[in-house]
Amino acid sequence: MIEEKLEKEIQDLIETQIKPLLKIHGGGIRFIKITDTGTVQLAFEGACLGCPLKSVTYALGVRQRLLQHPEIHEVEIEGVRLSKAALNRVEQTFSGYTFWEN
Amino acid sequence: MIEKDVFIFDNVIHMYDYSDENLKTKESDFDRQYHLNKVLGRRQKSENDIYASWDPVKGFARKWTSSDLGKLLFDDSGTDMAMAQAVPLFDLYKDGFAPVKAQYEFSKAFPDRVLFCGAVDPMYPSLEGALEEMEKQVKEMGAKSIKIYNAHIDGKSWACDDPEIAYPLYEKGRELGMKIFQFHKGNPITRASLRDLSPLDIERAAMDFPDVFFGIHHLAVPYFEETVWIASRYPNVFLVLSGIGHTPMVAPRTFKEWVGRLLRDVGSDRILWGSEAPLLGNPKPILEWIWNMEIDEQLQEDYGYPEITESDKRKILAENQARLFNIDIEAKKKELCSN
Repeated sequence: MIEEKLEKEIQDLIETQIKPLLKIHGGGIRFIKITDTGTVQLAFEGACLGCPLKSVTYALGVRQRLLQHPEIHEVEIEGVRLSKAALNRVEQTFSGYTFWEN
Repeated sequence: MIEKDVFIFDNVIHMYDYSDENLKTKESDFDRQYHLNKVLGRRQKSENDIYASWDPVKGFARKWTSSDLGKLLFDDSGTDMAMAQAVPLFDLYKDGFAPVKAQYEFSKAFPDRVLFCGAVDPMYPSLEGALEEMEKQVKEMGAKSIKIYNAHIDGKSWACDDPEIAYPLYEKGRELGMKIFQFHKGNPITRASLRDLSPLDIERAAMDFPDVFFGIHHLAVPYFEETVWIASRYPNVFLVLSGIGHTPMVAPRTFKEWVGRLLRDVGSDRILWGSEAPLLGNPKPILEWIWNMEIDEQLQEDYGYPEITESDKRKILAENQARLFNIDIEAKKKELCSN
């Protein structure tokens, strides 16, 4: 029941706050699952799939938003990889800021 | 194998014919010397005592035999399987500088280890001739792929997205059930224009033939940036580290920057190892270097490049090529072991 609630919250975030941004450029994203350790697993769709800047979208536009949820500890998107150094930098830089309404 | 169980499947080796007899004209020697001297310094000094001398003409500028190359690859380098690729440079060499027949013969000499990649050029002698030749190479000689070199020194360069000249090749490949084409891009090995070897003409072709695979060799250096963007956008484009695989011996950071960038923006599923052996010498030292390589922390910090994993390396060194050509690596290990 708790897992269902969390999944619904995350899917709602994706539908209302992330997908509309990606759609501007013809992109999309698909929810796969949340693991027991609080990792959200996703897959890019549409124009995002073939975009060389998808790692930036992932780090700033998707991961950073979902990490604001207290029960989410990591976000992964199939086929997108960035160094821990880059992810830490994004986290530190945007700590306390948000592009979205909470 | 290297490191006991790391399978090596080389995307590109050549049975070269740099002999005087294969030169088309006297002037062709200029291009031959240019190419040989360009790569001479990248070979390992010790192996020249075994396979050649430091004199490119006496050593590598010759007609290679199957036993020569088989020894270098399968006895001495750790390579398990390879694709022998013909190179259709008919403006300089009568039979191309890696002749179709020689690659085919090498595949027949080592049928359990070598795949044959044919080659055609719609300008030599004609599109109709190239289509007929492709049919022969696929149907009669078992070509699993076709190599293309579209830049020439005699005014016959053509574009790989030309609907009249190039597209019939891909359509013919489709009809024959052979849907893997590979392209020399960037890095001219003759006096042909660098511009004619830009990979930008692969983009439209990859879009118009989504069921055909397009391999870009040499990372199309100096068009690396363009190559990354094309491969990112089209999942039917794969990249071969041929010709630049020895860069770590001279500039390891440059090589790590290339690989790190590919891991970040393309992914490790479409990068293939290719040695060009024997031209750049025994590939074993480079294979071992790649197996042990890491993406420096500074590169991870400055560019966000991810770490390179053992899984990435296995994909690059064999698994991607095996997937492309339907080879079961575990079954092949057993087969080679029993032989």
